[in-house]
Amino acid sequence: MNPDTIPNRRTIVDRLVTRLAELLRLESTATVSEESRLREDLGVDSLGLVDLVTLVEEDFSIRFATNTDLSEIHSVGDVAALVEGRMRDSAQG
Amino acid sequence: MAIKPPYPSFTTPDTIDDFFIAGRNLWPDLKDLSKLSYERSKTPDDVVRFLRSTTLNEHGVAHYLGGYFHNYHDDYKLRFWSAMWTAEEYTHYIVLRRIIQGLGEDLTEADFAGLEDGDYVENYLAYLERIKVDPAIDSRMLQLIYGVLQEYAAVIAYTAAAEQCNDEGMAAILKRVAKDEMRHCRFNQVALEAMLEHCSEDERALVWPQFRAIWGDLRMPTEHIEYFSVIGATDLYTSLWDGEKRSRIILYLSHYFSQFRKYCKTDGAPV
Repeated sequence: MNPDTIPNRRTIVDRLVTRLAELLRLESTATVSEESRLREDLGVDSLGLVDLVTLVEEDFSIRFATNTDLSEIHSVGDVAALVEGRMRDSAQG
Repeated sequence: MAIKPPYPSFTTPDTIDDFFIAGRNLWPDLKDLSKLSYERSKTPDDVVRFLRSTTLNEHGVAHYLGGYFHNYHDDYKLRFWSAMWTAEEYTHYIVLRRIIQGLGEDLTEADFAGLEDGDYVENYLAYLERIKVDPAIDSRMLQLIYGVLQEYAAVIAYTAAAEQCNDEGMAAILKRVAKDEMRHCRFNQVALEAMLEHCSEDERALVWPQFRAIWGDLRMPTEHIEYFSVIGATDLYTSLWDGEKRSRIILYLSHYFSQFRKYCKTDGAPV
C-alpha cells in the first residue's frame, strides 16, 4: 500500500459511518458519527463485532493482527484510528 | 433453495487421515502427574472454579459423543474421529482431575451424580435444530462448524487459565491441553473444507450464516450438559476471558469463517 493513497481520517470516518449504517440497517447515516459508541449507542454486540471486523477488513483491504485488542475500541472514531494505523503499518511494509 | 439431500454417498476424504495419527501418546507422563501438588492459596478462585467445571465437562464428553454420532450419520471417518476425540478429551479429564486433586478441590459424588442426570443428546440435537439457518443443512456441516467454535473457545479458555494460575508447572500442563484443543479445532476446519469441495454452491453459502448463528447464540457447554446451569457454570468457557482473549476469539473466528462469505448470494452486510 502506497502511503500517499491512505485516506485521511475524515474520509475513513465517512466510509465507516456509511458501512455501519448498512450493517445495522439504519434508515440514514444521521444517527452515526465519529463520537458514536459502538455498544451503547449502536448496539454492536460480540456478533456485531465479527461483522464489523469482516466488513472493515474487506472495505479497507486490511487485516487486523490477531493480537489487536478490540476491547480498546469504544467508538466509531476508535475504529477509524485503528484502520488508519493498520493502513500505515501495511504501507510501511 | 435447492439443496441436495443430506448424507450423500460421499465420505470424508483422506485429507483428514493425518489427524488419526497425530495426538497419539501426547501424555506419556500421565502417571507422573499424580505426584504433583499445588498451593491452593496461590491459585485464584476463578481459576479453581474453571478447573473444577472443565474437569467435569471433560468427563461428560461421552454425552457429546452421542450427539456427534447422530450428526455424522454414516460417515464412518467422522464417527471414528469423534470416538478418538472423546478419548483425548477424557485424557484431559484425567490430567485436570489430578490438578484439582493437587489443589484439594476434587469433584464430589454430587457433581458426578448431577452430571449424569440429564437428557444431553436430546438437548444438544434440539439446540442444533433450533440454531439451523436452513432446515436442509447437512448435519455434518453443522457439527463441524460448531466444532470449530467449540474447540477454539476451549483453546482460549485453557490459555487464559494457564496465564492466570500463578504456577509454572500447572501453566505448562494447561498449555498442553490448549495445544490439543487447537489440533481438534484444526481437524474440524480441515474436515469442513474437504466436505465443502463436494458440496453445491447453495450448501457452501450456508457456512457463513451458520457460523454467525452459532456464535451469536453460543452457550457452551450447556448445549450439551444441563448440570452446568445447576452449578452456575454456564460461563465455563468464557469466565476467564478478558478483553484481549475476547478480541482474539472474535478475530480468529472472523478471519477463518470470512473466507466462506464469497459463497453467499448477498454482497452487502454479513447475513
